[in-house]
Amino acid sequence: MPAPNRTPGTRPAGAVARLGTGGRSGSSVGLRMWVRMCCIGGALCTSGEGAAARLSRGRSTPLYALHARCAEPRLPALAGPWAVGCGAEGAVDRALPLAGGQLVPLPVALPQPCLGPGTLWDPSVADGLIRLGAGGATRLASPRRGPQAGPCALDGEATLSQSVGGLELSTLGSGSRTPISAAPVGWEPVGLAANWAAWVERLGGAARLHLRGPRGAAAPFRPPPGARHVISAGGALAWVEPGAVARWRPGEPEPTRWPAKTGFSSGLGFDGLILCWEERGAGDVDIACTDGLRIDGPGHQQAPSRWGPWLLYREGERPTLWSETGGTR
Amino acid sequence: MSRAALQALTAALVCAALVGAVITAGPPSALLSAARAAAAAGLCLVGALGLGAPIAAGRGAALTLGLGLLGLLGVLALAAGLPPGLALLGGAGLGLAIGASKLRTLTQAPAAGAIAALTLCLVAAPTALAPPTDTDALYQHLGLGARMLHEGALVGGPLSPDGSRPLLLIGLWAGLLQLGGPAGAALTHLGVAAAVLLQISVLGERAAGRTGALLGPALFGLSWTVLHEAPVVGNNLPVALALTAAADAARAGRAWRCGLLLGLALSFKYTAALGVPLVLLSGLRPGGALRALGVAGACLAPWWLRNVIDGLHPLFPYAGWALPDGQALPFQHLEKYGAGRGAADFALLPWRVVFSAERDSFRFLGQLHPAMLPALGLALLGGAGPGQWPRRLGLALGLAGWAAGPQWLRHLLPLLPLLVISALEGLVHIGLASTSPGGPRWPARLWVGLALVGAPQNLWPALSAHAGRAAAALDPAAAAALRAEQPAAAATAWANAHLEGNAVVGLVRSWDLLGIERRSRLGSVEDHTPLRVLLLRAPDDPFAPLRAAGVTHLLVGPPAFLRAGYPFLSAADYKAMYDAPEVILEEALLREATLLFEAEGARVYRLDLPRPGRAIPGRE
Repeated sequence: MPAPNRTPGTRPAGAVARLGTGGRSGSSVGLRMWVRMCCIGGALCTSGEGAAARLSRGRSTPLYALHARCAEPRLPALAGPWAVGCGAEGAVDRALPLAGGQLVPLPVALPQPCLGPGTLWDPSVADGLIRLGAGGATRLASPRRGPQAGPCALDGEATLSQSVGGLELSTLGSGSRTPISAAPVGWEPVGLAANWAAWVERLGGAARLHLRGPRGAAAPFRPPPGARHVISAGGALAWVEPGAVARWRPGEPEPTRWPAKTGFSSGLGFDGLILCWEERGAGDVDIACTDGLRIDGPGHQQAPSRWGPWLLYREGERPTLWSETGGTR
Repeated sequence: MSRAALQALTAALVCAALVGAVITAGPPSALLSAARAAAAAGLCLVGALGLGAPIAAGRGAALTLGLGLLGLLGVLALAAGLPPGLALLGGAGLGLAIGASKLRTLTQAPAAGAIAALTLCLVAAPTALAPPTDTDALYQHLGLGARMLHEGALVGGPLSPDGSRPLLLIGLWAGLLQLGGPAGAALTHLGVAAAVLLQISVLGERAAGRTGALLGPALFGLSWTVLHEAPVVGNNLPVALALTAAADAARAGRAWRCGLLLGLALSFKYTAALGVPLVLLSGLRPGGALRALGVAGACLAPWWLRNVIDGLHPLFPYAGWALPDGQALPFQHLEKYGAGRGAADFALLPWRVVFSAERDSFRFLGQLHPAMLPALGLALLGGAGPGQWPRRLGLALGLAGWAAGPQWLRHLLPLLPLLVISALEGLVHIGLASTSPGGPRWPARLWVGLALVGAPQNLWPALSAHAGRAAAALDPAAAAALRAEQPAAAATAWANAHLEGNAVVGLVRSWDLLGIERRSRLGSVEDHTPLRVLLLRAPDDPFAPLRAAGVTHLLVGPPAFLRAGYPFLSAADYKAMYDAPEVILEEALLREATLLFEAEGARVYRLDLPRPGRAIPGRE
């Protein structure tokens, strides 16, 4: 099926990307990209709202190379400026550079990797650390951690993994591990930002988000019951709460919250700054982001994964990439 | 101390030991579990024999009647909200007390039959002791019992249609589940299979002397389907036992007993109807046959009445489901199974059923030993005395009925013992065997040759499968790995670990009623999945009946239907009956449920509150 045209003035029958808060920026694409990178690193920007004005309408393109269904339901997803997807066996075995270029086969298929910008790590696989770069995919030495109860999290070189017995903090490529006394629910992802670990436990059926800081420090607030779908990126944590999505950067007294009817299917897309989520509308499911971006239209748009000017989502069952500029894909 | 008092004391001690094992069983070792299962099975089988012995003299009849009585006690206990295990314990203890003096007579059998039965038990025991994986055991035979134990009551009706079938055996399996776990039920079933072999041996000796005593069990027991089914909890072999006993009662002219046994067979499973013509034509006079039919009908009437009271068709769920637009969903599409429905297909059926059956596909779903082909010929066409032609007609009618159904070989099991006995009689009438000791021996030798021919397709796959279960029977880690191979196993395990204790789980496209450790609804296999009915009846609000029934969560398995399985349906019909419900389901899940877990294509959802403006039917 050909990709629907999402450029201004040609409203397609399919999903439509809209910007709620911003208008067209006069800055060049390169400049805007540079600003976005800085924002994601947390150095210049402190909120997604400020960056929203830089966005303009973009274009969605189906990614046929990532069409195969992954065994890990949160994938395909973005790993920085790369989209990673699966082969016929359901494990992640390919990466697509968003800025253009050929599909890169991974040196080893990873069943349930956690993603960072240009990095994939699967603790259940020996040497399951892969760096993506201009030279392609490079497999690096990494000790195998054994069977995992759920997805892991990356924060730079720091990792948080869910072994069957509990949580473990470690460093990429290192064999040493620091266990955290916890009973994560499994399947639910964990988050790691600035040495703050976040995970979900389930007590008597109710989900409860736990936050643990360096040396066992407690968070200055208490997440409400039902908080889950945690995700981390760019030194910040985000999650879904009943009726809202929340983002918290360690050091802040309270998380920032946006009203949302979400958490019913997929989790959040989060690049450290901007949050995207599935919104249950009156007739269908659409995607909304904190920067005002909305992907809507007939049918369902689901499973957002955000990184800067790119948003990977599912249009029905088809992985689709929205980019602010129309991209090169 | 008198002998009777000693027996009563022994029975009491066995019961006490079993109660102690049940009470003290924490996380038991595999050995303790096996011992507990064996004790429960032993108590059930011996108690059933004892219960039936005062009513019927023969072993098959006594065991059938005893099992039926124990099943009835289990059903009554569940209907009263009492533990069926307790009812089983009481009934079996009573059987030991009142029938123990006749046990020695009841357990006598020809040496050949005893060896065959013992060999079967030893060979198949690992599968019986390993975690059950058979689909029918998980969703029906054990699964329904487990659901009733969680519910503390009988189940049935539109959201649990399999519970609206006759439940006599389910009551028995539920009691055994409580006393000995799934392995207790499986070992009991294995004991029933062994009893069928013994019964065939006894009747074979009567029909064809020593040759018959050996050839009968061998003909029956060397088919893959028999070897596979023996340690798997089901209802086909109990029906085989009941029909064989009923035919024996008919031969003896005992119409009432025959009717009671027929009624039990039909209450075990409706497919016992295949054997009804043969049984009724086995020596009863017309009046006696009518009387037997009446007694059998009276045994079934309570099940029909229960369905009528529930507002259902008496034969629900076999009668299918009506849709608002006048369309209907059948219980199953017969064209999906077997090897075709044309005239040529039926003509070739005897050959195909032996030589081109497939164990793991709907093409007969089993395997028969090649020796069954000459046995079939002998049974239908071999020489016969004047009184035997009606029985052959009855057998032919039963076989034709089987061919008209889904043609699964396990549905043929109830008829097979009678077919084997008829074949042995045919052998005698054409002079190849004799009831006297001096008869010809070469037919038995010929059979040995045939057994060798059939071994690669029948014996070795079954034996290697049973041997392969030994690790799972003894090692908890291997048992856990075996359970993990089940579809939706990860989602079931997650639900068991994380859902509230009072959660009620709707099983959608999943059927592990035994594995889910919560109260549950729905859950079935093949085409008879009631959720499709809900989806098609109310596509805008399909979960309303589930909410009204207290369902809080859904366990949704991977898509169950493939277009390739329904080539006989038009594209439009397939779309309406199978594709449309899938679309409605996924839409409803997105609108009205919250995903909690997903793995290997299976998902766990929490049902959200109904959308504003929608009340839950049946609730204020």
